[in-house]
Amino acid sequence: MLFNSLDYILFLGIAVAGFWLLARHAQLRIIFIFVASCLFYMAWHPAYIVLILASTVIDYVVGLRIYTSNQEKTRKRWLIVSLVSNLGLLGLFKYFNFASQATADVLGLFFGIEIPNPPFLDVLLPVGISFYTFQTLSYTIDIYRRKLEPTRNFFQFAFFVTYFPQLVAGPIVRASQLLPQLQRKITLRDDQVTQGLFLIATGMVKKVAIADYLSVNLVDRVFDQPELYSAAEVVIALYGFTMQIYCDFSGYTDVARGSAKLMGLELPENFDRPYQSASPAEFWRRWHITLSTWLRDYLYYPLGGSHVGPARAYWNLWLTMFLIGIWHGASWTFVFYAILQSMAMVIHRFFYRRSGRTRDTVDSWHRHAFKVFWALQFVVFSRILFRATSLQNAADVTTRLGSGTFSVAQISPAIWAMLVLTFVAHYTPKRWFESIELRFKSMPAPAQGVTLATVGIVLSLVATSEVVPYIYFQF
Amino acid sequence: MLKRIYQHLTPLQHLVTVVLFMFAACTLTYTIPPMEGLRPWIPGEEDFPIVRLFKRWGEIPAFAGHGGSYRSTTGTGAGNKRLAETVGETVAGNLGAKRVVARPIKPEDSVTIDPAEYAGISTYIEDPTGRGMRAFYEALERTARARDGAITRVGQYGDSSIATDLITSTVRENLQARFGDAGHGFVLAAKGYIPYKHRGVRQSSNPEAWDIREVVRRQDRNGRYGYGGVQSRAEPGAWARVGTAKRGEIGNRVSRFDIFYEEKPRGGNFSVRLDRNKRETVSTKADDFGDGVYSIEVPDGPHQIELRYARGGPVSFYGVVVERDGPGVVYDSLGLVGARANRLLNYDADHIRRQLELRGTNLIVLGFGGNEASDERTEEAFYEDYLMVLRRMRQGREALSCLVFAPLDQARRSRGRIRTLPTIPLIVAAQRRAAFDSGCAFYDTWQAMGGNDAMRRWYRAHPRLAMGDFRHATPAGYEIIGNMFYKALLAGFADYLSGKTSSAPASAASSADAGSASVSGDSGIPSSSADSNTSPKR
Repeated sequence: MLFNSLDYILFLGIAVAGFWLLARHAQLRIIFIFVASCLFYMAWHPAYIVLILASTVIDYVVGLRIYTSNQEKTRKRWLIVSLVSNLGLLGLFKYFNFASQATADVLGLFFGIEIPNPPFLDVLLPVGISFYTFQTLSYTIDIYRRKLEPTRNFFQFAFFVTYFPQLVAGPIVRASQLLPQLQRKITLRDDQVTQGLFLIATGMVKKVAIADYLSVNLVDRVFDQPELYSAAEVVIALYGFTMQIYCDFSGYTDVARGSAKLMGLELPENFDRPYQSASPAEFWRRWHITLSTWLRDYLYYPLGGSHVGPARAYWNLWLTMFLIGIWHGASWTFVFYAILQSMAMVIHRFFYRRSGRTRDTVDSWHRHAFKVFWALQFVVFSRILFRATSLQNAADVTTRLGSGTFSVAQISPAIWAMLVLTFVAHYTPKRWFESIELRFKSMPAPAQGVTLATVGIVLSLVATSEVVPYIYFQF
Repeated sequence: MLKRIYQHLTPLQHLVTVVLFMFAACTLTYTIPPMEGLRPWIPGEEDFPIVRLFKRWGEIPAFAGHGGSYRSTTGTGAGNKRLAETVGETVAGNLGAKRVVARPIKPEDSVTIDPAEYAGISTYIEDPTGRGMRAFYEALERTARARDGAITRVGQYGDSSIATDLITSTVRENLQARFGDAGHGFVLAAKGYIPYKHRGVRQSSNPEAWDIREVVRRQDRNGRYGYGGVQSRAEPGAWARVGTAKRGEIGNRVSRFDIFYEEKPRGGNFSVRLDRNKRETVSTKADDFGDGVYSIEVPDGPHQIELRYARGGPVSFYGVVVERDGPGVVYDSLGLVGARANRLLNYDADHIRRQLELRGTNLIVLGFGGNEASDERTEEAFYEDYLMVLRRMRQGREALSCLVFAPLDQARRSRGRIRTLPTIPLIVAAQRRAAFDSGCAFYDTWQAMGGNDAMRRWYRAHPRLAMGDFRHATPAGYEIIGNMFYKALLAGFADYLSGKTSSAPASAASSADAGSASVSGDSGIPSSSADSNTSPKR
């Protein structure tokens, strides 16, 4: 079930109504949302609910076992069970086919050994597996580190794993963020109502009016047949994709956070105007924050972070960034995307340290603007690999970039307007948007209702014909 | 007072009030007739929200926005099965189809087509008069019989779906694998800034130095756009290079370059350089306007020519032919982005006739209709247009086969659903009638895709076969169309060989019943075209 659909709005209405009607039955309402979340997931593919339930049961048991055991060996053994089962499923469903094909490619290329039909696992990638795998891992790892007490209430834990607003595309919520909210009395604040509704509306606008529009009318066309477009049009499409993916993913996060707020729950923010970043490092601190911080806390720091020798520190950084890159997809394009991003981080760190700068160093505004501009160019052009369907497709797009053609005849005025407006909006002060939210907040409830209905109807009119799935579903 | 009331609502009451007013606002669309178009859900036409999701488990694609990424899934049985569930087995079976490579035969041997070669299609060439395709089949038979230098030439005009050279390159590669590779055929000398593609040919130029005049835009008052519909006028400093591809098994060799240009009273000079050889200068000056061809014979292999504006008056090129000694097939891709069929009426009649003769084309295929789908016109109006265009292009010559290639399904979003444009059935019907009334053949691409609402199914398919504009196919989709059309040509050829030039759409059964079609020696060769298809008329 996709957020940008009437189905989700009705589903959310039923879920929120049930949640508050069962306010006096804490356990029942947790079970109610758990069942609703399972149905939400099954609307995509019923069979794969088994995977998420298996993962839930394993980590619930592992969490308790780690907590109750005093022996370090036993605790570690149970942690390994959790790691192997979760990462094993992720590896099998997401990376097996690529690993198989990549092995065949490498053997053929370097050793002349041809494998015409490498093993192929004919399964769909379970939606959201990359997200819920990381969530459940955070639970067992935190218990292992004695930072979290496990819950003995299975349905509380199942609620945390399967909670539908963040189930398929994040944000990656850690047990330490959501479980404590479930364990105390859940209340609804007035600001949560207005913020929740406002977030849902803005998320829908980002997804339907901007991301889908750019996708269907610009980006898909250019990437499907780059040879039909001039270099200038390809550049515009790359900027279009940059804005599309931001609005797509952050729009999803907005709807997820807004939906949770209507149930009195808070989910973490995932974006902080990423294209205002002045460096690749800053970009990853502002983009998909919950993934970056997850890998920082559960991989980078345990490896020693930057508190080790210089070579090891660079390796730690490179590896973490490489995994962030490869997390996005199993294909050669993502391998090269990951290498590009990780190398950029390493090079940035090298020059950053050499310059003797600290976090407190403040640039002049024009120097800062210069850095923001170049950081954006890196993001925009590196995303050729992110969006391309294959290395050949990436090469075709890159070739067009070098074609020396400058016609922009195939870019409609509406696309121009959309790109200019969205990029300008991205660089405006945050308070401008907050003032819109405040204006919405100051409206009487009936006016809010009518406004939201109007936004919904207008979006349904501008919407693409089919509901376009969120890009991050596939991760 | 109301404001005060609202200020004292509890958060839950606030939420309920908002939802109630949202619901009430939506209800208005069901009670006020002018607001009918704003209804979020249409009872009866769409399944009930939420419930409908559980009715179509698995339909929502797992991967988003990655049209064209089909290589990884082709060839796997399960991948094709999944595709077949959405678009049908016939369509799915034509993705990633293996090319049949013919064994060389002697002139006295039988030409045979195994029915398995064209199995897996349900739409065939319709040629009720038997005159539409005869010249082409005769030429193809000579080529198949490996007569010395027998080249069969096809030129497919069309709109953007043809301009990508994805359908045409698929047909080209299939025909060349089956009957021999006689080269890439016609390519534009320089394309300036217009979108144009011929796959497998290396082309480069300095676009700012070229003035491009397109038949689509009626930019030449004399109607002299050349065979490809585009006149490339060189300005001082202009250069263009055309060469064979470095990679691939087909099309990486050439044994003759033909440069098509315009002769005119004040024509200037251009220079030609083959590979790294010495330049030669060619004058385009003549007493009157005419069509010139400058040929360069080269040893069969990879080569490149460079054209440069030399001096004097204006120099206009129509294109460059990249060919090899036969036997083999050449398939010219002549797509014109944004074209409607009636734009071909911008051609001067004598000029296009002469160009087709110079090129030695055996079959012209007209693949328009995609852009006309947006025009609010009647079937009769479309019919009149196509009739005039077919007459202009064929000009009564039986030696030139002609075939009308119906448009792809064209759809638009309407109330949250992808629906076929109402003009498409009209255009297809008009094209069929016009084709038959002109003695041409017809291929129903629309029906081959699946007919009504095919675009919706193609868009939903994984891998995605249609683009998000619902007007074009993805590379995978074009490959399917190309394979289906090639098989239809082959089926028609098999019918011809077995002496059964069909008078109605051939059926799968009749084609299968035909067994291995064959004609031995010269017996059974119709005599309408006595010309050899070795060399174009010069």
